[in-house]
Amino acid sequence: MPPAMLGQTAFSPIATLLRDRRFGLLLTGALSLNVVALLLHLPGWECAFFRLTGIPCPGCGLTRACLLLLTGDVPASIRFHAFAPIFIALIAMLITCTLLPKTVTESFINKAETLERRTGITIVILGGLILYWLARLLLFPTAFVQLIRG
Amino acid sequence: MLGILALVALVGCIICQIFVAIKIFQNDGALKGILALICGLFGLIWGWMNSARLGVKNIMLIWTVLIIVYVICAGMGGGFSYSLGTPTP
Repeated sequence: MPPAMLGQTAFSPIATLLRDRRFGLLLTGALSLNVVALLLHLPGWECAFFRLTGIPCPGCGLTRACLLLLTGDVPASIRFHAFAPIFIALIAMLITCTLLPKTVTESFINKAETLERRTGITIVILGGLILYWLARLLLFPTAFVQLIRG
Repeated sequence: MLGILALVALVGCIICQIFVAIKIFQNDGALKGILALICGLFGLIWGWMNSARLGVKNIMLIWTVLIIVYVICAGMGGGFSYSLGTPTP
């Protein structure tokens, strides 16, 4: 398989997810339910990895960080998870592309896809997320676990 | 008893999540696979939506049942302790 082909299949852009309205509706619906459950102190979606091992995963604390950011508590949000602004931007993109008509969103999705292919921004973000997680886990293990435990 | 059942369900959930993430990794690329590994919710939704194509219908069914079992057991056993507020590291 030629390298270009391999790159295309192995790192196929996730911007294509924005085209899938059913997926957008389901994910935003599930996230909304999780947020409501969190606000009402009801059982919500939990990180199975953290529950089992006691070690936070790279995405642990992201929901709470997003909620804190949306309520204007920027320092607390950043302490919970520094990727909250990126995550909120991605969810906003998903909601916009799910709710607006296809004729409006198609050119935007195409641009996002092209940007992703050219710059590899998703790989950078995911790589950054994993490096950030490793840094927190190795440099501040106790504080990190306590923070996520809540 | 409830705690043990919750723990077993949790282990099963992780195994199912890893299995589905591997399938997504193989069929839909590394990025979606990593996303499914990091974010279980994504894996669950994407897995169900593409269960026939990925060939994970039974695994998805088991995963969903295990999630329900875990939520019931952990909820009854008071296993939820998330809090929203200013963190104190």
